[in-house]
Amino acid sequence: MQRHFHDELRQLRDDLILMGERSLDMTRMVLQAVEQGDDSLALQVRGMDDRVDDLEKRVDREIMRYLTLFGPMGSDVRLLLAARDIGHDLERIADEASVIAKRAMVISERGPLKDLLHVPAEGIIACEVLRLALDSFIEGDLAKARLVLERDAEIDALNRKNYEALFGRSGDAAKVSASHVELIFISKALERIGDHSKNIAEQVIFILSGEDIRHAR
Amino acid sequence: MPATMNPTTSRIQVRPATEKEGRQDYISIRDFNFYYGAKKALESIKLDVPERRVVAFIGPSGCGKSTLLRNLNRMNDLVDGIRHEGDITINGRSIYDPGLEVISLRRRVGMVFQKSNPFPKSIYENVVYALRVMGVRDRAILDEACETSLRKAALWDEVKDRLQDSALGLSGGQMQRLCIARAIANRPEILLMDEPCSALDPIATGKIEELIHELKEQFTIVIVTHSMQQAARVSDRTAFFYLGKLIEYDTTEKIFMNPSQAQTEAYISGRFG
Amino acid sequence: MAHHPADSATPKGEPWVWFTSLGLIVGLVMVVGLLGLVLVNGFSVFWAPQVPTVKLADGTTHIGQLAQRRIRPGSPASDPRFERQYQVGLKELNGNSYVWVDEKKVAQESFDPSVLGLERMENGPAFVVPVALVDSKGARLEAGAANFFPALQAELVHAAEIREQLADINRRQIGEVNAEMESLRIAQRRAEDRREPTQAIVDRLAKLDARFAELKASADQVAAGISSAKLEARDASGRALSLPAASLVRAWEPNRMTFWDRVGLLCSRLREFLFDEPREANTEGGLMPAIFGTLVMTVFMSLLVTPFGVIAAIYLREYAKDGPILRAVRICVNNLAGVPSIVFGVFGLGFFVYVLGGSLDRIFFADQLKYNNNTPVLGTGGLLWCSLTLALMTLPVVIVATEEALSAVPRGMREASLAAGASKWQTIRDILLPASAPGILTGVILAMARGAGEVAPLMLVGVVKLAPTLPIDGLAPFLHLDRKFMHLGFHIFDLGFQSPDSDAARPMVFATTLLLIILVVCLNLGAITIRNRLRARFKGASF
Repeated sequence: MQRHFHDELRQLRDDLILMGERSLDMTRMVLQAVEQGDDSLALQVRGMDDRVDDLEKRVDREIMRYLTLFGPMGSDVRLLLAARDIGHDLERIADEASVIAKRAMVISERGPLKDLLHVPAEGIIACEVLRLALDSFIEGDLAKARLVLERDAEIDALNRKNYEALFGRSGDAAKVSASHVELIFISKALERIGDHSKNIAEQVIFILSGEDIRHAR
Repeated sequence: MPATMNPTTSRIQVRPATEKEGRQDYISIRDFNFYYGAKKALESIKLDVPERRVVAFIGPSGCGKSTLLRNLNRMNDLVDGIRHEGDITINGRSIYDPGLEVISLRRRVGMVFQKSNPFPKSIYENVVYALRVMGVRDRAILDEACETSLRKAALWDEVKDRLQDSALGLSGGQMQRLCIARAIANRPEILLMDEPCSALDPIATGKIEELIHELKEQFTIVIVTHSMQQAARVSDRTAFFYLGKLIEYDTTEKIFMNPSQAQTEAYISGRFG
Repeated sequence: MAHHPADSATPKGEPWVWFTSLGLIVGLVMVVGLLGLVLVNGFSVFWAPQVPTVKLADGTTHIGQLAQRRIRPGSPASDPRFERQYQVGLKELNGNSYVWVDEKKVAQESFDPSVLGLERMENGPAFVVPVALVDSKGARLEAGAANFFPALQAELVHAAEIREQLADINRRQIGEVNAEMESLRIAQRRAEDRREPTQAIVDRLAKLDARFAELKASADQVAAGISSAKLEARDASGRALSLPAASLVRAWEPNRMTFWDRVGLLCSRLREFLFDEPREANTEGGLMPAIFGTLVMTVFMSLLVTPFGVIAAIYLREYAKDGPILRAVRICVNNLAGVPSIVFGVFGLGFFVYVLGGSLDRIFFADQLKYNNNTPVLGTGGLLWCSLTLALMTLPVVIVATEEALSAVPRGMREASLAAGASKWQTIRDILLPASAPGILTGVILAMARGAGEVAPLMLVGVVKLAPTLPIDGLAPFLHLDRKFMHLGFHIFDLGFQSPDSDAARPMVFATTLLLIILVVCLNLGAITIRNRLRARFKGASF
């Protein structure tokens, strides 16, 4: 039996997906801004953050409304609980994108940086992983969610490489430019995006299987 | 990007807007006091029911919610020693207007009871009963009303091949839907429901609730329920009664998520008494 | 080991269950005993057992059917002496058709195969040894001949046919002529009284007189056909008898018959019992008028009492305001059920027959009274007054049952109907009455059961020992509410206590009792069937 309030649950899902797509867009755009030193793009990304924040609040309100009024059970409860976390992670991803945009503008203020180390590669993987996490949610695909957990390590590795490239190459901290420090923060932010994607994937696994795999390793 | 990416208007108000917003005070209860003999059952009730909306009355047993409901079609007239003060109007006209026959009031205000109470007649005769007592004899009209009502009550497909069978052979949920079909057969404007699902299993309850959701396209519905979940699921507005008084009346969301009265909060959170 | 009180084998609360069941057992034993007695005695009336020839020590001989055996009154309990009662028949010779025989004095008991059992038009049965059948021309057919018994039977059949023809002429055709002449004479007297021309009436009367004479002649002609054949026989003590074949109803050879012959005889007697009219002061023949009268009266009573009772109950339950008056009325109605039935009979006679019937006679049948020697039409006992009296008597039963049934209709159904916009009367008519129909019918069943078995009041308001006509017949207006009628209950009383020959009547008392019980059971079964059909419509209801 289809109940009329099930429509609202679909609405909630749609809102989450919308949030996800926004965050992914922001990540992609901010990477482009970093690579091309495009300040206007970076500014645009910073402006998009508010929209995601609004979406998060709306998702939270919908969750609360659903919980109070419609007495959800089973997978609906898991979806609602996970939606809260997913919404939070997506909002954090948007925040990280916004942070990257800020750093990118700082870098471009000091003149374009020739060597972006492994950041573009890391960014591509971060976007791929986020895409994968979103797809696993949209499609309810357990395999994709598990793939996210594996691929997160690639981002961590690239992030570490960025450190080593910068500090290992010179061996001399004084030679590291301020722009490079910003780059390290960007790398770190991308790594955080990867972590949030992983969290989303964990929540998807929770929705689909009811299995709580957080802090498993 | 998927189609869902298009930003849509706020969907917090999920209810699809009806073509035309109806009267906000379709049923208007004004300073209504009600007595059973010397006992005051309702005290200065003020409450407006908007047209084509579902309003739920909740509250602990004996709070007067059923009494108020049964005043809306004057079923309480059957009880000896009752008395009322104040007024109730439906679409602007007082139901206590001496020029208004109580029978014609009841034809405009259908009622569904707690226990399904089909007559020991055929399914068909049950549905068309209200028309029969109005004196309708035309077979074509009766047939049409029977089918329409049963369809609206989401029962047609289940019983269309056995309309002449006894109504008492139906299941509990079917019987209750039959009672709803019977209540709407003569196209009333208002539908009163007195705990319509209290004797039904969850599936049947769900069906009735979906039905209420659909019926509000056409009818103004007032439902008394002991189940707060049910009130939350089906109603647009909720009134909380306690000891014959209306404690709080607001949108259902407000009542259940953030009531302004401490008593309401205590009741809906189960911390009552 | 400490004895725990709960270990006791009998639970403390239930030691007297056997006592309550004892009450049921006593009741059942009494009912089954009564029914068994009635059943056995009732059926034995129709059964033809072997007929012994009993020779006593003093040389007297009896041929008869064993009726009963008992301890001689006054014989010591330590050495009981038995005596037997034989039905020997031939009342006109023996003075009594039953004899008591001391068992000790029986010298010889044999079964003569030639013994004939005879049922006669008059003087009861006879058990004889046949000698010969002498036909009208004097030709003798000796009893030993092979075709003797068939020839005798043929004579009986012939006699029965002629009796039937005579009855048709005398009772039906002449009866019709008489009825018309009666009303014409009244018309004639009235016309003379008013000095109106009477020629047409006189002419018609003359025509009827002619017709009457014609019928009489044809009756005589038929009567002439009565066989003058005679059965010559001897009784137990050897006296020669000559019995006209036309006076015999039935003949059988009790000591030659096979079991199936006896069953056939039983069926023949049952048929007569159920469908023929009584003979011999009701001790023989059939009970058809009484069965019919009882049936018509009971049905008519039910038709009267049901609407009255139901309407009264509807007012009491649905419309009357609760209060001391209503309560007083209820108590009165309930007490009415406890009033002895003879009181209703007296009331029926005083009010219905004399006051109501008398007034109606004065209003509608003034002519009849005036010109027919003040013979009342409705101002005397009759079917209508009997039914009304019994209806009054059983009214409380129906009222109480209907009230109960109405109050047992679920409140929800009443509310649903009112909420659908039905008026109170529509609710009562369409919902309450159909729903309470089974309960109302239960009341009617009880009323019928009580009414059908009631005798005392009927004796005062219209039941008679022997009614010449049935309350329903082919003469307009077909249902004659003013006629007196016969009733099984009264028939039992009459047979058992008013009959000149109580020994001869006793078997019929049992048979009639059995019939009355069967009739009441049938009426009840009919009503119960209707009720169950109605009840089936409530199946599946979970109120």
